[in-house]
Amino acid sequence: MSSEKNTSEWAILTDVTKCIGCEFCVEGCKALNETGEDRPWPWQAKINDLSATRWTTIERLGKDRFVRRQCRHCAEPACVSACPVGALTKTPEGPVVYDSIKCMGCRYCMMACPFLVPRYSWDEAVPSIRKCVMCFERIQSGEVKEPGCTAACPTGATIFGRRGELLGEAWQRVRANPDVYLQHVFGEHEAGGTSVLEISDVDIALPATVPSDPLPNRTWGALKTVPLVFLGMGATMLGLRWLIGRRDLLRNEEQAVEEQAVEEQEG
Amino acid sequence: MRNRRVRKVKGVLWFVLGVTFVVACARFFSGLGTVTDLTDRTPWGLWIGFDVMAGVALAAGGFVLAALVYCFRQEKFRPLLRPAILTAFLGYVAVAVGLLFDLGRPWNIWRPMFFWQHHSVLFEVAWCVMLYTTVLALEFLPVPLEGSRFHGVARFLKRFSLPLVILGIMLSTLHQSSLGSLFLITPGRVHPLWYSPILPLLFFVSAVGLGLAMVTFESRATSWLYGKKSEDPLLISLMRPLAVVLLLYAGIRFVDLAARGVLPLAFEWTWESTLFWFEMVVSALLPAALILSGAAKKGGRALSWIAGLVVVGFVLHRIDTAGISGITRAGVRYFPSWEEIVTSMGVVSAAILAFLFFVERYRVYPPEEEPAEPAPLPPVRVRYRQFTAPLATARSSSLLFVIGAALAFALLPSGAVFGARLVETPVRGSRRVLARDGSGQELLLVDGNRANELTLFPHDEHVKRLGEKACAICHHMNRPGDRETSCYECHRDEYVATDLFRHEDHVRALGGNAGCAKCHADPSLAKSRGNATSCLECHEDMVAGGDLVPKPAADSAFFAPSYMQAMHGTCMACHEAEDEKNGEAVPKLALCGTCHPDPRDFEPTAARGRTQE
Repeated sequence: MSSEKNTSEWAILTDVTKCIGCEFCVEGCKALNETGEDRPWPWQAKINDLSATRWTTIERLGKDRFVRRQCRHCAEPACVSACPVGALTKTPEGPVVYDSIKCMGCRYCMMACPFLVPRYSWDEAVPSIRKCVMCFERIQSGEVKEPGCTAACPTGATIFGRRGELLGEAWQRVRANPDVYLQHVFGEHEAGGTSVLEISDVDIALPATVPSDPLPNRTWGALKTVPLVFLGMGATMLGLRWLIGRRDLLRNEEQAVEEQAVEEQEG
Repeated sequence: MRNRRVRKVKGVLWFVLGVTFVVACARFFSGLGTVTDLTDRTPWGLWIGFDVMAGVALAAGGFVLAALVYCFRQEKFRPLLRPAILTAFLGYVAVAVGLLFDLGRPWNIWRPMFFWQHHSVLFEVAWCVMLYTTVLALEFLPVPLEGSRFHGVARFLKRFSLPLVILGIMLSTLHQSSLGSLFLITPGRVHPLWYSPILPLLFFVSAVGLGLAMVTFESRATSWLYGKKSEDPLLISLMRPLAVVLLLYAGIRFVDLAARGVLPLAFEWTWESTLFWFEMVVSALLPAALILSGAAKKGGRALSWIAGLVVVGFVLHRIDTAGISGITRAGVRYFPSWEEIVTSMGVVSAAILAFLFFVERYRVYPPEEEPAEPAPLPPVRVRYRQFTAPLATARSSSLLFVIGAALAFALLPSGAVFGARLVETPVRGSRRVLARDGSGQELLLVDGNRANELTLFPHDEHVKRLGEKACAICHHMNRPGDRETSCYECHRDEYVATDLFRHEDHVRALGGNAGCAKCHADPSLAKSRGNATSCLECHEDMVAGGDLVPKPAADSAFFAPSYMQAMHGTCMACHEAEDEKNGEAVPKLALCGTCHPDPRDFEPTAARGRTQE
């Protein structure tokens, strides 16, 4: 559904069959964004996992397949919908960017992301969310033409372009070599479509729980009912008060009438 | 007797507060990572699960009792209303304080007020909690104001009690249920036994039950503490509605599980299903059964037990939903650190101390039996000191606070005081062995890459080659978290998949350490790429075909290299040497991928790899 409307958004296509796992993309990202050195913090399971200092990483699958992990820049990002202060935003160009000045550090975005991407600088007294932003500001300002990762790739395994074009390119490659590739473009429909796409000859092991529908729809369904529940509850409570009050009143009146009758009879 | 009881309880609370004070300082100065066990995979922990999720639910007594008295017109419960409002107010303040600990940038907590994000559940929760705390403050304000100089304000506020109560109920309904909606967006993190599209409804119903239980519990606790007359008859009549709510909750939950088709999961007796049954029995089934069996009719301890079960069970439900049930799905373990546990306890302690302060000072509870002789009371500035605690406790409380603070300071890890620590990665278990070749050379058996694989390391050779003064190249103390450099720091080409050649695959294929000699034939030499057998010795089939010039015979007198040999032999050798001279860490031309971007250039190998899968 979303694949048609985001054709002009920035996107990244990674061909797993071409990746040799050299991690030049990681170095390119680190150099351009100055993320700093990876360090063995107690909260990191593996030093080469995604982290506050490593916005993209290479994960080895099986014996000789390499999959690049990074923020997937969803068409309808769960993190953006979760953020209560608008620190995360989906730009019209496609990348999901972060403004640390607005952030209050609730980490709901980390909870919401189905791909477990956003990372936190737990070691800092003024911490922030860290994740790939597709080098948005640097490309916008004209400093670079494409993200640091795709520029650094020596084999052309990961390329930068418009989502529509890359989706076409991906399907063309997949269809041209049906005996090599799985007939699937990862990221075309996952979680409502993402700007990062992969083609591969093996399953790239996205989290098994990633749904095909956009996650924000789920909370929006509940949020839509808020005005109704709010006013409905108020009306119900006032109504109850009036009803019970009236019942008590009538009962008292009846009692009074009865008592009066009894008194009159006795009198 | 009763004063000693009050003093003891207060002492414990102040002690916990002292510990919390120091932990809080560490958390704000050194960062969240230094005192919590939170990770990138488990970003929410005890502080959200207990302080916020459970805290808000525990404070539900305020709106439940207000609804009973004002909307259901059960005037008999009015004596319980003030303490319930006070508990709710302090509960919400405690939630806010607990949240300040958890937020990475707590000074931005005001932002949702001015930057509206109506699509975020957390935004809605933030607004409701803010408004409701204000409402509760206005509802409770008349209590401390009455009998004071500002009793006019109290009278003015009391006129608006009905609208305030109704507004409070509306806001509570919203955010009690919205705390459940928070998790609608995290289906991957919540086990199917807990995740449900009707989480908001379940949260609301359980909050009503929890509210009734909290009112009971808190009334029983104050009676015990101050030895005052208990309100058992009133509490007993709360039990019937409580049972109805609990059964309703259990019913909704089971129908929901059945409707979603995940009920069988509850009978698989996994860790989660055991947790589910434990939670259901403690929170709803057992208390409801106790009430229906008539155990509550006698009052007394049975009431405390029933209320206690409900409270523990529903607190568990909040913590389960917020994290515990998803632990196996997140793939990492999380258990709160002692600092997190103490901080949660400290926030609760502060709330209880504030509660006791108000109870002792103001007319929160209705006066007990009128004194025998009606003493003439001064008409204005009346202070209701129903439950007295001796002022002398102040001194011992401060002492315990200081002791607690000192203890916490002693126990805090260095990271919490001086900033986050790194995990040290020493090379473990080095052992001296003699080389097998009889040369008498001493080798070290080390786990060079911290990969639980031992390898023979010629230490003496390294000393000789790097120079005696070069110990610091490997044994440095200036690299964070590293005690000794791992092998791959210098021999990256062999260990890291930067090339089409991967050392670890070869190790595995050749039978671990037994296979070293296949490529590193001479045991007297330090193992390096330089003196290893060339790839072509074993992988003739890997050489790309299509040479324009045929290969020369080995003994040919006329050396005419093929195009491939020219590139590999002549060009590369020079370029590599140049690169090395220019200080390139990894000569780019040494990487096959630089010239052969497409792995299909190595067709035979690539094809073999594919058929294996």
